[in-house]
Amino acid sequence: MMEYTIGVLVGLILLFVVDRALQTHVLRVRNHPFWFAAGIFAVFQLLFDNLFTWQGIWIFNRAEVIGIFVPFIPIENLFFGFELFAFTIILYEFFRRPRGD
Amino acid sequence: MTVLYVGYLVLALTGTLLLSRVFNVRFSPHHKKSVVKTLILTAIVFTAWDVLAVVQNHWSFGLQHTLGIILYNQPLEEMGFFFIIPFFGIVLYEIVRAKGEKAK
Repeated sequence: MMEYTIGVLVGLILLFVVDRALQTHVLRVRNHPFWFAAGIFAVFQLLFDNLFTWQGIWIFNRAEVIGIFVPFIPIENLFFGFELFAFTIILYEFFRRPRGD
Repeated sequence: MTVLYVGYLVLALTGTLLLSRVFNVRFSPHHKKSVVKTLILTAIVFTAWDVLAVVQNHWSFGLQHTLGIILYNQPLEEMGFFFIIPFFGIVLYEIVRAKGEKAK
């Protein structure tokens, strides 16, 4: 029951932990360019994920979500996309940061 | 079997490459390495999540819209998705960052 909901919430917590552990501070800085990019990413995600779901490429199990759909995709999937984007940028910032060695 | 899913992937990759051209996104050799490392790690982590989610029946795939190449419980396209979409994310992020630098 609502396992996907729990999954994205755990994912969100893990993201903050990773961002802190790697000292990338992507999520902690309010005016970080990440947030603006995340907004644009979400617009693309809303368009394509709804298209995918409407066409039946992805099928979400309604028993495992809280029941809010925007308009075809469960709200959990919006979090999933955000977490995919945030994880990518945190790693990218970590790897591209100049190292002292 | 159709090319619907793989078609969307080609569209996404083409769009991303076009975007990077239009906005002149360039990666130095060091940054290119960072991009590759990021994409590999992200794809591993999110494919693992996806595998678990399908096992637990959080979601499934309309396999009739895929090429029909399935690795464990993942269509090949879904694995490609976790390389192409993060790549789009990095290009998008670089465009936003460059605009911010300019505005300063």
